[in-house]
Amino acid sequence: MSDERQSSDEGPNDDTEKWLRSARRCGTMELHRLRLSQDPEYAQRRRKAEAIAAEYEARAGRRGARGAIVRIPVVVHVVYNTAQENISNEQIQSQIDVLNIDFRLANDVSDLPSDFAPVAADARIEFGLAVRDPDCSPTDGITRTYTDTTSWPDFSDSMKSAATGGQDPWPSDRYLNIWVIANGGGYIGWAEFPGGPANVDGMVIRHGVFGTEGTVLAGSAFDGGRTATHEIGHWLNLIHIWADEGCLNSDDVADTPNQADANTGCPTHPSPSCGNSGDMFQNYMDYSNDSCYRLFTVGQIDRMTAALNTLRTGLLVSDGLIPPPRGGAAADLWIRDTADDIGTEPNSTADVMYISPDIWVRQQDDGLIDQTHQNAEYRAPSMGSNYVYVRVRNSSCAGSASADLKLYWAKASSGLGWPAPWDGSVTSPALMGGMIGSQSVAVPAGGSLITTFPWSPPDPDDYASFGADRVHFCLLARLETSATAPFGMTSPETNDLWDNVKNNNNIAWKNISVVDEEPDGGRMETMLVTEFEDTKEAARLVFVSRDTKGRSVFDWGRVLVRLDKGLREAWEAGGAESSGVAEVWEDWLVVRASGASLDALRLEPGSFYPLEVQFIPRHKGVERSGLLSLDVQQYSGERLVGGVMFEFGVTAPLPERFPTRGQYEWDGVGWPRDQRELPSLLRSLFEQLRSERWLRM
Amino acid sequence: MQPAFIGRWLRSYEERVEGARVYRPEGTPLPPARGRAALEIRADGTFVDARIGPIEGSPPSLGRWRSPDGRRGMVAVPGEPELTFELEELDDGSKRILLRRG
Repeated sequence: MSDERQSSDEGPNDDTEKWLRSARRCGTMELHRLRLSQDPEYAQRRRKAEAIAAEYEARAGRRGARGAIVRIPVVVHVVYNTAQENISNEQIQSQIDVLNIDFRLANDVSDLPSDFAPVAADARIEFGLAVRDPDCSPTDGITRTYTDTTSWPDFSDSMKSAATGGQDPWPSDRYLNIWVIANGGGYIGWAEFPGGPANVDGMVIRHGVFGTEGTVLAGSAFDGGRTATHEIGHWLNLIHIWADEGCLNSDDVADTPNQADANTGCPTHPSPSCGNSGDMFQNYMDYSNDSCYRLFTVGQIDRMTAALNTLRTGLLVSDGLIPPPRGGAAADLWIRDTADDIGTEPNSTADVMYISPDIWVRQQDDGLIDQTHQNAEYRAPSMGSNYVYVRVRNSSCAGSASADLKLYWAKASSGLGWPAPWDGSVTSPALMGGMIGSQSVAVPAGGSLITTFPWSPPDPDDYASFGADRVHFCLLARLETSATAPFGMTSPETNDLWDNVKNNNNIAWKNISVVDEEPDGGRMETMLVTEFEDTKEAARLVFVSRDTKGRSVFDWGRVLVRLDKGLREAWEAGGAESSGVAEVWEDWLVVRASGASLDALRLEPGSFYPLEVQFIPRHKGVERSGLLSLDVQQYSGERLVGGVMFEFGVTAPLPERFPTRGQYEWDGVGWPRDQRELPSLLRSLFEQLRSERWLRM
Repeated sequence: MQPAFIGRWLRSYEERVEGARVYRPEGTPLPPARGRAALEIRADGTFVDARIGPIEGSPPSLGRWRSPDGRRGMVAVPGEPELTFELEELDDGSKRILLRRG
């Protein structure tokens, strides 16, 4: 077989333009590399991988709504023979940029057919060139290797080893290895599924289709950097959308149409096959031109998420995107405050401090290691506990480090201080916080450790005075390396929790409320506004969306808030000042846009004020399933002191699931006529809104 | 004389024929694609169906072909439905193979 592969190879051709226009460039006829025949255990591993992924998908629930953003460290191995093939750093970065658009659904999808738009979703996966190499040295995430090889047969592994004229991979459990090679052979890129041999794991791609500039020929079919998007889809366990020729094969994804075959070029919708209403040639796993690609579906994202949580877990704990510490050796334990935190003190992020991805709750001990958070749920002791997970990282290159990890809870509110209420000192109207536990942790150099704390939240009946808010709790994790003050903190702690968290990488904080999907009719949640310290300053609540403009809670629905009596009095005492907020009915206010605020609140220190937050999706507006976030930030004067982030799971209406018949629909807000769960209050509210035409603003 | 269909053929996705896959001789100018399925019909009776499959690099199916007239043929691939193929000569002098299941 190898003779045939050699004889059918096209031979050297380093002229990108000529190659892209060449009719023979896909002229491979040789037998593909037969992983199956090379490695008898491969098929078995693949079957096992599929079973693991399927089991995960069944267990994880929340389709397409993984909360955590996964960042994957990438190393690009440029294996070149000519100067042209030794592509620029800028060209490499242009490829990373494309991946971060495509895997976050940041591309323009406004022209997607209406039957596909609801299933397009944000994969919440991002990519970055590694900043730490396997030896714990700084790196730009790029290796450059001269080779005598001028062209590579399809599916060759030679570029993946220094011994055969290429470059050895970095540990493929912790880095995505991408080899960028010369032209030659027939395929422009290929990748390994999860479960393949570690020493060849990754993706191979021609430089002429890598990124969007440099040697990429503008105007060609593959000038958008999306060959890599397709190949990384494979690397995360996606198969071609048509699966295999014919209508009998499935891509194991439910929300892609059954499709007979690959599409090429850029077809016109609808282009039906296998009885579907049109092939989804806009899908990254078809064979269409880069300019026609638009989406991964919810089902494909579930498959990729399953792969990350079962088959590629090393990426979730990789330190490839954490710079090695200056000096290299000093052991330093830390916990991430925000998704982009790299452990600097103070944290230089512009983001809020109460959304640590390294602290997460699961209602069952399901080991969901991509750090997707659920609200803690009170239940009878016989029903078992919730589980809090904390990931502790060691940024050191050498030497393990140890500390006492202390975990605290507090009833969720937007204005938390330190040490109250975490220390258990606030007992009115009920116990408002306390320590969950303390464990010694020891983390090896460059490693991370997930510590598990079983936890039974307090009885919600204790919080009856707060109305609906019974299941939301805040969490705080502190690493103490000394038993005496300042407990090993770089900056001694003060009453200002925000500053404590920002200034010390030993402290992390989580105030996230996950609002589970409900049947139509809206999602209502209650949060608490409070002020533990007497700051003498007026408070301000600001409503902020962190989603792309055009795809936020404010674009895809209405945000309503209701102040309880005490909060209304505190607001009116300050003159009922607001911005971007309007009263609609009794105590209900509509929040019109990101940045809107309730100002000059005169809060009584130590009091708790329930604030109801209601998100009403507009079914004609919610274009796709996923998470919508809303931050309610509390300022004391001009100082941000805390807040609560809500994540609303939304499901875009699929045409067949939401027939207009039998529904009560008006101005984009619709629900089944006999929806019993819909509170009568809300119905009245809708009527009121309608009569006052508020929902037409 | 060996049949005219002996050789390597590339999938021409751009030509849609109901119920058939269309292949053109290797070397025919075809638009760029991410990959093309291929057939190899060998003089020794081997038939290689190199569909793209679930991923670039999926292994091909191997079968045996026989032909009563040097223009049409039947293919038996173990574990797969029987295939038939037909060599067409078009008015412009070009050749193509239509491959059908069953």
